[in-house]
Amino acid sequence: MLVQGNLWCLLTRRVRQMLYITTFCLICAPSWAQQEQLYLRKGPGSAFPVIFEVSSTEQLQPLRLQGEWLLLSNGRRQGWLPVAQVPESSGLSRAQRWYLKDALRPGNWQVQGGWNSETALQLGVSYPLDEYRLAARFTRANAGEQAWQSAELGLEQVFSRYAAWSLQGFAGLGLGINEQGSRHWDENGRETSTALFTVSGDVVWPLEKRLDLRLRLQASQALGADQSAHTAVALIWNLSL
Amino acid sequence: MKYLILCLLAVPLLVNAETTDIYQPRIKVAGLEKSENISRRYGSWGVGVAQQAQDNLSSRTALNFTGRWFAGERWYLLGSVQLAPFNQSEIRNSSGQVLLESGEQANVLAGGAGYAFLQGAASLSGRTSYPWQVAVEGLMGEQYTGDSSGRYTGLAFSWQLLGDDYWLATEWRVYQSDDSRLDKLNVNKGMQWGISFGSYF
Repeated sequence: MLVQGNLWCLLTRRVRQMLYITTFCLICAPSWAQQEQLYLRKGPGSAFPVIFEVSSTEQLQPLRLQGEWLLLSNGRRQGWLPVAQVPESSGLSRAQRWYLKDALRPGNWQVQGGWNSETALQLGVSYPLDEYRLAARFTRANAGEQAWQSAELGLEQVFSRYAAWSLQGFAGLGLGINEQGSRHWDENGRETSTALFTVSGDVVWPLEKRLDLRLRLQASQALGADQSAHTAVALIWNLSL
Repeated sequence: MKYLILCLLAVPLLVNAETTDIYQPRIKVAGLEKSENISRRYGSWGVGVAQQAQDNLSSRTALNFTGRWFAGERWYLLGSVQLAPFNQSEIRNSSGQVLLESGEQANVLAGGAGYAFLQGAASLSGRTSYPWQVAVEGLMGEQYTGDSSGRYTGLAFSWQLLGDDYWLATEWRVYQSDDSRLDKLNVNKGMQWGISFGSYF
């Protein structure tokens, strides 16, 4: 009976210890789970080295925003962290969070530049207009003794999307200018200008949140001069401001 | 009794006075307060000098002005203005016709894109380090040489040391102008290396 009683006491003590440990673990577990480590980097990019790490509950002071990266200070050291990784408990005010969210949103204006297979430079700007974008484009080729240019105003529209890729179209009217010696808009190389109609299709590949690369197939038809038609393939970088 | 009545008469006056003191609406303004301000960096600007070495012409020093707009983590858009002397003595053809006048100037207006393919941190003392990146840059624009002009194309590699408020860069670039006048004289290609310094906006 005595042995059984001691065994019972020992068991209950062990059970009580287990219960204490389990209860302690259950209480502490959520706070451990919330405390993640943040890795702050030397520069605003994921390839820059990590220079120090802090707990996600540490109070951090936001100093500067560059792209999608935020320079933070814990009072002693400074490092960069993606805005998306800044935790709720880092000490940023609601106004600061709103500002960061708003700053990361791409703006309405888009600018673009590139070159095409007719050895011409292309520049453009666009702004949303209902479901379309109003776009202005300028193309110029200059080989010294023979230069030509064109300027167009038209509408862009997204036709279809596939994952991150999209297909866009453009139709516009404009003006083609032929400088002396160029045979682009005039076969005889005269200095002239002509109205023109242009259509193009873009295959859009996003490089960054605000930047995409476009492969453009383009056809222009002169409505005056010698009514020549031109087709070209262009590579265009498009940036949302 | 009369003091009690006087006190009771005075109570509403006190209450009214308090309510007018309490009503002090505070005007709320959307946005960050001064103490919450987060500065934002959009891009960088800089000036620099470059040494140009060109086929069939003596080397010369160019002055550069550059602007970069950060388009993302690694990509940026680039604008550049370059001012440089082109040649010293005139060039004539066999019949004595002047093909290139003496002291012509070659000025370039170009834009393009850059991609930082290497990023890291550099330190001399071991105590302070600076982030750096190596970028490849493509440039297109026009080169205005004397009275003629032509399409300018350039490909550059740039090593940039990024300070908190200032940056320093070295660059190596190969370039070509499609100006037919220069092409005929075979003076339309070359390379340059230089150093630039600037700040951010």
